[in-house]
Amino acid sequence: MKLKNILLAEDSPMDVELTLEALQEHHNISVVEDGEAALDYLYRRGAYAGREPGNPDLILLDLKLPKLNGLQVLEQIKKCELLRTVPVVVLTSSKEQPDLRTAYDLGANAYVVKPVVFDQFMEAVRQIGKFWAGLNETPPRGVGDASRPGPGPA
Amino acid sequence: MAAGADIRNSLGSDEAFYVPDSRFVPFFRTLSFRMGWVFSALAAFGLVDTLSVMLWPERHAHPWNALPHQPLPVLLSFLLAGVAVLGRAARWAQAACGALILSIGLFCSLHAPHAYCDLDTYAGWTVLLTGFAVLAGASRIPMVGYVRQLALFALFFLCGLALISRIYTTVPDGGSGFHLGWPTALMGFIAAHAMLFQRPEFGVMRLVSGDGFGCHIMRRLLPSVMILLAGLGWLLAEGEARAWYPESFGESLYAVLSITGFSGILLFTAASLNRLDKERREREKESSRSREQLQAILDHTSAIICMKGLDGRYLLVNDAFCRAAGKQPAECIGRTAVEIIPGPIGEMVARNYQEALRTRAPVEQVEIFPLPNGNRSYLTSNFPLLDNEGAPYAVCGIYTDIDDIRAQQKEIERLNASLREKTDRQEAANRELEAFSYSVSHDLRAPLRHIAGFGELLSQRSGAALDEKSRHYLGVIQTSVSRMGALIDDLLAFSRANQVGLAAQRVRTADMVGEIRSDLESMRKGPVVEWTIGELPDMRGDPAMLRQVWINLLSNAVKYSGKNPAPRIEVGFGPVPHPADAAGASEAFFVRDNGAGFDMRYADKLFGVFQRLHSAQEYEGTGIGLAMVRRILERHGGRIWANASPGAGATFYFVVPEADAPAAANPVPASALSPEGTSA
Repeated sequence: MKLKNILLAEDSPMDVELTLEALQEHHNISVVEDGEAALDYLYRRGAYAGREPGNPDLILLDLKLPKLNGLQVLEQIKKCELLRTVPVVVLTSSKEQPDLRTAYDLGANAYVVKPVVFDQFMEAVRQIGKFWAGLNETPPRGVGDASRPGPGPA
Repeated sequence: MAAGADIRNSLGSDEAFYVPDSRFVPFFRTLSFRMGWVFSALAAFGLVDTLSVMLWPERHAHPWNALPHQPLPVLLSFLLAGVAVLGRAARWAQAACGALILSIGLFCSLHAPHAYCDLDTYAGWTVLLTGFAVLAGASRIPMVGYVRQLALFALFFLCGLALISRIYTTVPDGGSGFHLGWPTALMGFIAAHAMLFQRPEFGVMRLVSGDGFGCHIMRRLLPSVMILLAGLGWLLAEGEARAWYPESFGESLYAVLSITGFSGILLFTAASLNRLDKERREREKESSRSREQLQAILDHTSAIICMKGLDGRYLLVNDAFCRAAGKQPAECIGRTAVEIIPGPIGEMVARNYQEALRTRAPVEQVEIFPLPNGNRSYLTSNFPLLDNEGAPYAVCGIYTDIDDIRAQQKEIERLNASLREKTDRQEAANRELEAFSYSVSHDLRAPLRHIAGFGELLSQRSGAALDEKSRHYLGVIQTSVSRMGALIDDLLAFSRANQVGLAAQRVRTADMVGEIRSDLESMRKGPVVEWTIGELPDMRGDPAMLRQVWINLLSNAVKYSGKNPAPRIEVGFGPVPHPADAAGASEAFFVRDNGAGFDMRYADKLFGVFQRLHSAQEYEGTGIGLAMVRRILERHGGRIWANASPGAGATFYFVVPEADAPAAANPVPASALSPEGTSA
């Protein structure tokens, strides 16, 4: 089975490490450390101009990101014709009601609070990977690809 | 009475006198009006009768021939006099009627006896006097009015004499030489009364129609004396004529009956006078009490109130006035403002008074008075008191010191500003607290997760290589991290309970408790709990928060009764055992368990943040649960207290607003609310 591409937007290297620990066995993970880099990756520009074309199959998005925060990135993704079909799972420490509401308002596909306890954390992240990048059928190629040159925000 | 009122209205325009209090004036006006009708009708009938007799071919055969006939001029003059009395408003018509009657009388008196005006001297006088009275009635010159009254008394006398002598004797002229027919005499008699009552408020008639005691007595005595004397006279004359008794006895009888009759009238009058006097004294007392009440009210107000007559002298002053002027009331009454307070203040007050008098309208302004203890602002209001005709007879002044009110207003503004500032500060603090909670929620959890995660990774990687002690250390790290996570979660929940706005909805308590119970049962390990859940009324408040209250209390009960081999939990609503704790409520919800209980000496610690009465080894928990319960209930206006003893279980009581109006709100199904679990 072909490995699915997952974009992980997470600024904490330790969280990145833990997430990779849980996911990299079965998936192809790309990591970006801030909101701007996430958009650069998606639109294949800047530092990511040379990456393989194609939208990721899943975006794991932290909310507290430097530069553009997670909610701003989410808004951009869901506003873009070429990206809005990509499933976005918000993966954050925040349990706050306003964050939850805003994320869903902006079109998040799921919202997961990172558990503190290690086993629970690992289990949660694996389940996300299993469902969104495994069980869930991702949109067919060509429905939208923001990485190809053409329309898209500069 | 409606006719009387109409007549009064029709006459109101040319009143020479105004007697505002007399209710007899309209009565006499009505009376005179009716008498006018009577003698016009009599005269008209007599006129028709006399003319028909005169024109009848055979006079002796005329069916009415038995009736006494009057000369045509007399009938005509009385008809006119009646019309004049009825048509009083038109003075020129009255004057014309009077002149005509007067000339008839003059003509007849001078040319008697004559074929068409065979009036004798007495009838001539009667017509003359009637004519003069009608003519003079059109004049409003007082002297003419007095002469008219004299003429009417003369007419009254003349006709009265003729009538009485007719009644007393069987001789046609009464044996007095008077040749006045009784219809003429009767009409003259009625005419005299009617015309006297035409102006009931004029001259002597004022004594009859007025409101005074004298008038009252007059109205009683005059008719009584007339009737008494006329009746006794008739008795004497009739008795003598018919020889009922000897002549000398008749006179004695007349004298005794007169004395008795007069005495009776006097007794009646005295009694009536006494009654009137008593009423008057009571009225005076009443009015004096009203005056005292008014004065008391005036004296107990802080405003300066005074009243001045047209001469600028004070008629009334209140205590505040005397205090401000530094004078006694007696020193103020009867003096002018400048006399009492010489200088600019007195002049200002006098000026206000003049202004109100000149404009005849209230004058209101804010003025600053240079008082000895500094300038003070007064709201001054001067208004004239007007009589019924709109003429001012006094000026009332009210002076309100508004410096205190201004100071109070400033104080209120200052307090409002400070309150606003405090609210702003509070809001800023709340915002800061929210930001803090957010940071705690997000940032404090991340390092914990990392400690836990990497600790676990370490133990997975080299757990086998570590010795027993190192594995224990790693275990401690993991346990502490879990506990820290729980503490952070609870602290956040507690801080949210303080900040989140409260909804006010009807909450079905029984459903909510049932759901929480089954949740707790499903999570529980250990002996089966015996639940007793009684009748639970609905509550009113924030559904999510009230659910938290029940979750915390019920999970506490389950936790602390867990070590009892036969745990029992009772939930219900009933009378409060210690009303002093309930702050006025007579019934409360309660949750009772047969668990560990606690020592009541530490009851005050029970609801404090991070306060625990049992060690964490004994019963796990962070010590936030009950603090949160108390905070939520306090925010709902309720309260919670507990009763327990070590080893014998605990009972928690709480009161919360009840949903008493069934249709007040849409009940929220308890299942629609997600619990935010917090362990106590």
